[in-house]
Amino acid sequence: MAEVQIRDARKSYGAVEVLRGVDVEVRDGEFVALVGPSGCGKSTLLRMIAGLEGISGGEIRIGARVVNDIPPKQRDVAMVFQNYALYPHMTVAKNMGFSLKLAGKPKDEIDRRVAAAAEILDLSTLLDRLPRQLSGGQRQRVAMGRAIVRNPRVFLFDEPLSNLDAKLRVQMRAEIKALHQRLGTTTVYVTHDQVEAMTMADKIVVMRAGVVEQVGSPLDLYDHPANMFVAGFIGSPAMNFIEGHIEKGRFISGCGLSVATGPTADTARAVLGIRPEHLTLDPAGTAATVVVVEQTGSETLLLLDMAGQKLTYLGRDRLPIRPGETVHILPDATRLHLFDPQSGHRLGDRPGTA
Amino acid sequence: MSRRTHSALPVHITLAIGAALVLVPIIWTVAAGFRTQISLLMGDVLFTPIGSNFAEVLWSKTSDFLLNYRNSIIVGIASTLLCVVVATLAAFSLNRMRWPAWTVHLFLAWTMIFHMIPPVALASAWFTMARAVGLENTFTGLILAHATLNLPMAIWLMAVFVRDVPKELEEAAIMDGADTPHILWHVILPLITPGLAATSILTFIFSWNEFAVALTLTMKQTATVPVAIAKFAQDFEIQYTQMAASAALAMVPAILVLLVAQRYIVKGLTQGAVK
Amino acid sequence: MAAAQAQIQSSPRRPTQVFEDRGQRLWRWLTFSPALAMMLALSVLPIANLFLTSFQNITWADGQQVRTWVGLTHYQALFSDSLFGAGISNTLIFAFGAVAGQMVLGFAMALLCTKIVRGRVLYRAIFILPILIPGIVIGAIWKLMLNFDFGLVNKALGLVGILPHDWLGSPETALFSVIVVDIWHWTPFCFLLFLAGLESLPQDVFEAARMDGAGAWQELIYVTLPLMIPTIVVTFAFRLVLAFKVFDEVYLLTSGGPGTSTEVISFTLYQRFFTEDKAGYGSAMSVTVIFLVSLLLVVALSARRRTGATS
Repeated sequence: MAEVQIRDARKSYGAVEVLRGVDVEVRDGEFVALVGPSGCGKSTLLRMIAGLEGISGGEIRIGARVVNDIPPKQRDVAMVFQNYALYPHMTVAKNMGFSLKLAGKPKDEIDRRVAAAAEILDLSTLLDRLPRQLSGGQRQRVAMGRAIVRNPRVFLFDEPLSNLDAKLRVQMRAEIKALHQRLGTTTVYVTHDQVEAMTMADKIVVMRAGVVEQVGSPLDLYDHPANMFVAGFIGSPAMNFIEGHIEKGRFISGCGLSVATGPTADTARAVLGIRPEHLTLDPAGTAATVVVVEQTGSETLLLLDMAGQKLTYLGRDRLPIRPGETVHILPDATRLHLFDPQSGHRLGDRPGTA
Repeated sequence: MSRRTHSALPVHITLAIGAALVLVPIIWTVAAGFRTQISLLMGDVLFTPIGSNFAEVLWSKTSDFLLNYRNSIIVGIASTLLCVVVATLAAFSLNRMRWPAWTVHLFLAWTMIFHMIPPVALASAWFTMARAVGLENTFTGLILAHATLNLPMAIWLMAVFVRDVPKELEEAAIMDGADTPHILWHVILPLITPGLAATSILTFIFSWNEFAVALTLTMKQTATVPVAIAKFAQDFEIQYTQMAASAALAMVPAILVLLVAQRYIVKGLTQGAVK
Repeated sequence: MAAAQAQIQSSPRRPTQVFEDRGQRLWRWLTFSPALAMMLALSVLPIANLFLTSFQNITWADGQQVRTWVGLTHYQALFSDSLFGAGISNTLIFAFGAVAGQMVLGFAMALLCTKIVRGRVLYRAIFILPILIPGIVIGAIWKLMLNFDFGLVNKALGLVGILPHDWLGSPETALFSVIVVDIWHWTPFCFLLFLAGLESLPQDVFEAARMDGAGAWQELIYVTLPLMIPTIVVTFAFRLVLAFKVFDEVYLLTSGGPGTSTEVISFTLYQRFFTEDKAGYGSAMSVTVIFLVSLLLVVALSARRRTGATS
């Protein structure tokens, strides 16, 4: 096991800069998720850690070693690929033991370690199967098994769950998490799904267009998004953004909304961010028309129109509301986020959490 | 594109005529190999098959046909092995070893031009070169020539098959600690075996069929089957029935391959041109 | 074939700045050098040699080769060589005539084959056979079939009252006969490519056309043919290239005769270089042919780019 330190990592293909100076610190045994929209450079960064991509600038350290010029096989990292990348002509056991065979390990040791990994992943009965005879979830587990037999210092996951159906994804999420808790291996996990990142990671790195937007624990990012991008990216359904201005300690919007912001300097333009679950239905609130009602059973989602301003409301109660009706919305004043509309940065140091 | 079943009968009849146009000349020629010269000239529909033409072609003192057959097999197998090994390595290299684009372009453009050049034009140059280094009238010369002639097609085919192996498998192997030879041997090769078979079969057949270069680079001892058959036509008095018999014998590999490996041939022929 | 190039070129997703150690650089060369060496030694070198020889006269004195520099003499002689002129024009007639026939027949047979379900594999197996038979054997087969005295062709025509004709022996029909033999030989190849192309066309387009009320003929004109254009272009180019190389059948069937009526370029080359042992002049002819062929490739590639025929 080892920590991974990424300092000012840069990557360019010709004139195109894909990573523009990325700093990430992964502590020993930590589970770090790299998230961001497609094209943000998260997969490239992972492949640079793996050694599948060269490093144009900066440095990557695994343990005490700078690995910039060290080939993948000497970095002692294992990777789980998006499409599993199982060798179609090898059995499950051969797939899992391939790295040990290449390393010249004796056959009985290979068998023992493959058996042990298969035990952990509940693959013991499938060792003689070929990948095409396995279900999606089983293939996923073999891909993980191939990584863990080597007992590497770092696990790398490249969107490993994106090819599974929704139900299996939730199940495998839990399995990977449990595996990490059991083995305690340093893990870097790339995903575009913020829910995956939120539920699995100790630490999330949010990336966009080749730069790190924010690093923090899942709840940290949820409660204190550093900018509008992170605020909008983390959390589902996404945060509401309302444009307006701040005057004498109140945020006032053209749509009629007005909330106390506490001691904040007056600005001519500001954006109020409020999560759908932090809106309440209160007769004292501002009137809004219901456009769409979505009932999931456990929750009610309302899409609202507040004088032209679109808002999403999420509540735990079942509401007998129909489209076209009018509701009154009151934001939870203790959970407001204020942003500068120009830079997108967070305004002031608002507590966020109550 | 089917389903209009009411028109199936004319379709079948047309196809059957097409099949007959293909098969009748072949069957008639093979049959001619079993006739006497007189029976052939008389054109009897019914005749008593005789084996003397084949016996004459294969075992007579004046005929080298068995030797020619052996030569064709040696040249075919050796040139196929050489060609396919070299082509597979090259296809892998060009596809996966990150050559600069201009290198790949230049090389493939050259193979294309080379493929278009009439073999006779090359044969003259090869003949001169072979004579200069003492390889005329040897198997080595002809094997090298056939392997080179078939190399462009083999490279294009193998490039298609290598390209079909997912890149991620190779990356997974790199992460598992595999070096290039490991990747080639343990990952790429097992997955392109069907393609390799298709390419090998076609390469062998093309070598077996090749005439112009074999004609110029061989002499009596090293002549291949097509060269031997061509001799019949040059004779002042053509032994038609023996020519038919040797033609029938020369078709044996084609027919065997068609019976055993039609799937691979179709794969090879269509991949090479369409993809 | 041109497509293979396009595909290889586009394959590396990330072309530059990839992690690479010394081992990989070594293996990159090791895997490529055999092919490179073979092409250099056995194609570039001989063609360079041809080029050099084309400016020379080669004579033999006491078993020693004597090369004398003659400049452009051989190239000038090409213009007045009637055999070369006949070779070029006959090759063009042969190539376009034969390939046109093969394309039409091959397409028709492939289209018919897609209309049936049962027996498709059997028909395909039968139609493939001529592709696999040595050209020289095909020459032998048709030398027998077209024989004036006992050939099956004259016998069959006799049944419908047509008098026997010396197909290969008369100047008017010799080239035509060779073209027919080539059509017999290579229609199966066009058939195979067209069948593969037709079988890979998306089915939903035909269903949509049928829903729009298209008849069989309209379906062919408005749906099948436009969708098949890439395959048709590739097949045409591929076949044309091979047709220009024709040698085996001509060698066996007619040896260029009668007169120069079936004199094709490969055969002219063979006669000048080997039969007449004019190495210098033969080389000049080879170089000219290679130059013409390269020119053809350039034209074909640019035409291909213009039609957007990628596959």
